[in-house]
Amino acid sequence: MNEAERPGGALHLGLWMLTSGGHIASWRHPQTDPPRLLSIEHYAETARIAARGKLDMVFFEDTLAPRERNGHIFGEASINSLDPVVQIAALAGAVSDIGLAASYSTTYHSPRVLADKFATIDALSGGRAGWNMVTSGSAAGRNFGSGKHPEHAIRYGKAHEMLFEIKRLWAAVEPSPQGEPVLIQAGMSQWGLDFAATYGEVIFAGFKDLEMGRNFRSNLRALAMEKGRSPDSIKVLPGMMPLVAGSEKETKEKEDFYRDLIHPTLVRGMLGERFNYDFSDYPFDRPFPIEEMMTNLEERPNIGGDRMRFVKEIIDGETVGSYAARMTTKLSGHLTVCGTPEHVADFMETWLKGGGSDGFVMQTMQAPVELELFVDAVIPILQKRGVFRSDYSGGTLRSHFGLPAPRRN
Amino acid sequence: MSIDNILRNISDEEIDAFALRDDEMILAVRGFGASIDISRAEAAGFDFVLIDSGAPERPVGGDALSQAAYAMARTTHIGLAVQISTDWAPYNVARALASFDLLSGGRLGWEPVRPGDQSEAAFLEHIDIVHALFDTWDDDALVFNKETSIFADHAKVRRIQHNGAYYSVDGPLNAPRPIQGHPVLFARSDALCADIAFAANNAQEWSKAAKVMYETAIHGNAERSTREAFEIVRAQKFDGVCFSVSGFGEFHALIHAIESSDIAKNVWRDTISLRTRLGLARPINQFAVTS
Repeated sequence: MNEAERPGGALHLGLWMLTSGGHIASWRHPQTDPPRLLSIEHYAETARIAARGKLDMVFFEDTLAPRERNGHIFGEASINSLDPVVQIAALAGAVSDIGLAASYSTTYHSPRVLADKFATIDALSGGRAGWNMVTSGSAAGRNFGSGKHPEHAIRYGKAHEMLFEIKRLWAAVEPSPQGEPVLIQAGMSQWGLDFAATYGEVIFAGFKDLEMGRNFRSNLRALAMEKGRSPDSIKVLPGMMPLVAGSEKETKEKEDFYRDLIHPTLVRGMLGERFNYDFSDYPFDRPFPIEEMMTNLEERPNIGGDRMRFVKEIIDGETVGSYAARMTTKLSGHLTVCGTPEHVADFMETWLKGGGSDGFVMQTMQAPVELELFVDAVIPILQKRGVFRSDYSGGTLRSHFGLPAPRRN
Repeated sequence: MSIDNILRNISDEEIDAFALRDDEMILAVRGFGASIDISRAEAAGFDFVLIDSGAPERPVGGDALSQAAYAMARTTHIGLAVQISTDWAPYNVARALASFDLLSGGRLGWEPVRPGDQSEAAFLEHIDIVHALFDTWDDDALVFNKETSIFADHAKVRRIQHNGAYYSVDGPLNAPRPIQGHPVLFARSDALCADIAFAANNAQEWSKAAKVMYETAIHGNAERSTREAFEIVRAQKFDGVCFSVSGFGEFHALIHAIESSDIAKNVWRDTISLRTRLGLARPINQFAVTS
């Protein structure tokens, strides 16, 4: 029986936890209580809702420098990740059943620290730990004694060595109920792909459309087979953000609501970061000052690629305001799907059946309110269709993802 | 915990108001995570537990901070202190500790441990950087104004741009100032200006610590060990006692001895910070401009 025919369905879902949600202005949502974003109760409550929805895991990303804009910290995002390993360790004590995953850097922690923390959390949680092996963004180097952040190739070379040492340390202790923590990997560079095919068990990705997903997934499964692994031992989860509404009319209203949640000051800041130009006093009804912008466009690095690609998006003679309105409707680099619960469920099922992914790692616009809506409205549809589990069948992260026992050193 | 803890300093007068214990003796237990049932220690009225990290070569799986975080979610007010090796880079330490302090409502303490291959000078520089990073955010940097869309006042967040003999760290931290200002600092040497020092003999040998606790193991009979320890604390005017346990059996014997002793039990109804609980002043921000 192949995966898709297995009872309980084959869709896998992770909740990508960000402080108040995936939407950049989610902290301004009327139901967000900002001080609560600093307390464990907020994350425990959100994780419990995800567990009620039978999601495979909750996931916390990591940064080793605050997000900055125009030379100073960018408020909302600068606390977007409190230490994720502290968070999943706490959640191991606060919530049962659901998997607990966190990013932690192979560049800035020793193999011993990495092995120790994830083994501890794996034991405490009864075998629910997952580690997203990241090599870190370039802003981090200045906080760790080196002015330079190591280049890609060097970072990944080091990552291979480190993983060998980490697995050696794990092999020397009593296995948890899942053997070892699940290895998650998110790099989509050439180096990242090779690493993913060798070690990755759950792979985070960013896809624009189903065809991109299908190509990536089949390519990665083939690479894994070349390395002697079963293709089903590697699961691909692209990022996704659903916006669930009761009707088409309500969908439009919610889209407008979230777009308007972004204060003009923030829009100006986002434009500033995108184009490396100060728009704080620039009138929105004027076209872009393209010539002036070009002088400093690539002066400092932008996460995710060069800024020219944004300049190319500007429609000839378009006002800053018009561009901003278009920019804020596409709120995430990942797949966004807005509509009724059926529409959202259809989208997810299409991707699964089409081989574009094994599921999704989801942000919700706001947490926990939008997550709760998703769990109450969309999950039951997926369960009824036999595409998603009705209950957890095992107690470990490995069993949730249907992954084989780990290859221990 | 409330936003008040984040947005204001707690004054000494307020600290006195929280002193509910009759005899004010601080009571703590320390050992490896596997030896201590932290929920049980909370129920028995301990002020804090301190989780030891053990030798650097020990098998993995006993990370003190992760064990404390697990307990954080399962307890409401007991202080949680951990040994942290300064092998771990200062930015990592500061971030993990600030995160824990915030998430727990200000219940964290830490005891830095110098690895054998690190010099005393590097150790001290490391800890200075950690404290400077805690102070990169002013207490009132978080504004949370939904109307004006100001989440944080970036004028109240700064880099440290530290370039020392052993470390270079730019900052700022990507976490606001801890609820306690700085997590409570424990030490077993006088090299640090610790909040609390542990001493085996003499309270007076610690000139720099704000408070000194008698540290002792359980020797055979727990009832007798605890009675003798309380006598020493009173006679030598220690601020409290920390019992070191080497296994679960010893821990249970200790709990039983404490519960059947005449020492006043702490019944804390509201979650307050560990600092407040121990009667320790909250440090002001070293970068604060006094006007």
